[in-house]
Amino acid sequence: MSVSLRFYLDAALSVEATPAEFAVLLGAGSVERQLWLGSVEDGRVFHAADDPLGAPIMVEVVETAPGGAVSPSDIRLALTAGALASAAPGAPLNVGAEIQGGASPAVPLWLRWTPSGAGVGAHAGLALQTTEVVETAVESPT
Amino acid sequence: MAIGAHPIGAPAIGAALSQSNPAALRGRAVAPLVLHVAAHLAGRAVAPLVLAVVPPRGRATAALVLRAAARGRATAPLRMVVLPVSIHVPTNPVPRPGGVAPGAPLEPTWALGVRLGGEAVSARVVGRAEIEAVEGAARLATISYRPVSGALDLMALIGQPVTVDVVMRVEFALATLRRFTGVVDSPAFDPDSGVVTLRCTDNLQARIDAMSQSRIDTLLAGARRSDQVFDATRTGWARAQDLLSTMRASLDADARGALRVTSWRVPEGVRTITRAQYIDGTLRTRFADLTRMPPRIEIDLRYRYPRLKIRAVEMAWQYGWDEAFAWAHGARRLPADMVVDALAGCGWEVARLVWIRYPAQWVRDGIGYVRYDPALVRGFSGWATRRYVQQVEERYRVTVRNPYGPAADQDGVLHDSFALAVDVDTADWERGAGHSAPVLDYLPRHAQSDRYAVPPPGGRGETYRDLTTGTADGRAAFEAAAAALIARAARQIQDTLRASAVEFSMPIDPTIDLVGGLTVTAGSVTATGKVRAFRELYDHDAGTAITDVELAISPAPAEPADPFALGSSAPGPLPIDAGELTSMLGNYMGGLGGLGSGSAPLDAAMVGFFTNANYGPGYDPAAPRYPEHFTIEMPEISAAHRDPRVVTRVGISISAGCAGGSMMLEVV
Repeated sequence: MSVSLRFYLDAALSVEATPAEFAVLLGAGSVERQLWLGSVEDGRVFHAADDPLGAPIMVEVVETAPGGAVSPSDIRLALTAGALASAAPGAPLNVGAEIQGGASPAVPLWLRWTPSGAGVGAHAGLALQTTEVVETAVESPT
Repeated sequence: MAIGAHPIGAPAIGAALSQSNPAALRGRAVAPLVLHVAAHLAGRAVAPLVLAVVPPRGRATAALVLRAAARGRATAPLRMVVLPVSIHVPTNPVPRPGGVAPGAPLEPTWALGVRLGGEAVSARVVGRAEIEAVEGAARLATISYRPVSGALDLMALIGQPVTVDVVMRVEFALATLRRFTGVVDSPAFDPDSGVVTLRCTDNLQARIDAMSQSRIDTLLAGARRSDQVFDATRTGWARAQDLLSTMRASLDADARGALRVTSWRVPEGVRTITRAQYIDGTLRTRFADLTRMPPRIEIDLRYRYPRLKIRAVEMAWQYGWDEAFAWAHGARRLPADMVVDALAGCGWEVARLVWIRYPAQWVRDGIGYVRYDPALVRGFSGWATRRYVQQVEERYRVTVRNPYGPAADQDGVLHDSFALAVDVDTADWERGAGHSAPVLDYLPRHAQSDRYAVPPPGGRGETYRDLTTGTADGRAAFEAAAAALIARAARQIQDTLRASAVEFSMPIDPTIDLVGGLTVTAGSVTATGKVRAFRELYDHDAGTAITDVELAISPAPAEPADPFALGSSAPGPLPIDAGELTSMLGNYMGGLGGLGSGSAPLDAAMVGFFTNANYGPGYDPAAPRYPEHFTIEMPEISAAHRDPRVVTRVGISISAGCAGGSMMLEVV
């Protein structure tokens, strides 16, 4: 059974980020966009799998096809647009120890992509990924 | 599925989750009990289950909630598209000469990748294709294609999903970008050409209509919400429009259909479009209409609520003659019952009463020995309280200024108003008793009905409580309503400020989007603004691909609206005249003669203890006599304290701010 935690393109969690697309003119510098990490399933809660009671859930950029023209170090992650400038390139992002299901508690993320060696064309080979999480359904005892 | 359903405690839960080991789900019984089942349940679908566990040895059964767990990662592929700075696709409808000179770079070309109902129809797309995006509106696409031979069911196309990608070849690289995601709205068929034309929409309004209120609120998290200003029962698109009316932003969907709120603010460091990049003859300017630009919006706000008051009035009385005089004239002493009767009928509630009594034993009074009837009192002191309600109305006038509009004294000032009133029944509170412990059990008391707790005064004076804590009519609701109205006014003004526009056409540029801004420099016009609308035109017959752009232009760099909080506050208590806090009680003896010191005729202003001389040196049978009684008259509560009280605050002024932009014209 797969987890219902997903990356979304909007705060209402209506469109999944499959993919999250960036478009930029060559030499125009960086481009930013916002994504949301959450679950449309109300009553679900997510914790880091390796330590559900303490460890944070991390989001990182990983290479799915190494050797391409883009690398994880081209991307900065932050929880706010203002924090992008101080974020370390390629560094994973701590999104907290718990994420609740439903649109309201979704975690907004900001990504800034600065193409360093990418030429004109479409580049894949990177993905945004969370650490392994455990999903539980919360119900009130009857 | 066999589950070791043992009661477990929190340590065991943590251990179980961390180890993913169902066998670890053991521990001490606690309640409420919660089971975690680890993820790897042999790959079976796991659903939340409720287990009833029968504890051993006949103990009470406890219902358990099973929390089925799953493990995994959220993953999103990232796709980066780099486009050349200048995309030299054909922009005029002249067929290009065929062939490319040897050694020359390949000319960039484009194609549309169209999927209809999940099926690729790109190879059959013909004619003109348009994709149009406007702030706050659904993204539209118009696509024409030649259907395959056979029967054609146009009605079946309605609602079919449609995606449009533009594929650009630059040199030897291909760059594909999604331009539209939506559904077929209305199909048409041309019998002469056999071409089907689809008008498609991203279904923005229907998608918002289908969303729950909480989803809409999440999407428009920056909005000012007020159930007093907006109808709380409105849902879907109408609710979204209410919330948007308080934001300097628009709601739309991007090329992949993701809903987004695009700020009107022109971002910093926008890209510049030069004369070499837009198509000659397409640059146009449009200026805001002064008559639609208010210099300011004045908002009148009123908040009316009841102020529950408890007034305490001091009472004090002492027998007014010395004992020898009273004995000499046969004057009566005051029985306590007479005081109690008077207090019971005064309409106030006795909060404190201290008797001054005569000695209980035989005492020498100068003439002989006397022992007083224990029912008599020499005096008393204390205070009585009364509950009453005053309506308080706070009035505010907030002016939201247009920082770059016409002169402030020019016509066109707009007005808005809002009133919130706390409408509750306070009659039962007014009738209720003021203190939980009665001072005198034998005094009649009203039934306790303290729906609202107002602290009683500790002496003469007044305490009060404003009923301004309700969810729907409390001060917080009033403040939220004020904030929503002011935000709405700021948006209205900024909207008129950004009514000017610059329009131009340029070779297709899929990076142009509603979230961005641009600067255009031409010989006569230099303008900066945010993209308000764009339209992409792909002409398969002519081979042209053009983006039409409209920029919203404001007259000055971006500046935010002034931060605002009404900061309303209740007025303090009014001063109370000392005479309103004391009940004046006197002593009056009838039957006394003598000029000046003799008994006066009975008058309504005389309040207190009345008795008569029956003999003695001052006795005068012709002097006025009084009915022997005791009266109490509590002071009136003045109209200023009882009638509705209006407190007015004016002169609150804030700037609506500006979304940003500029336009300079130069005659060349």
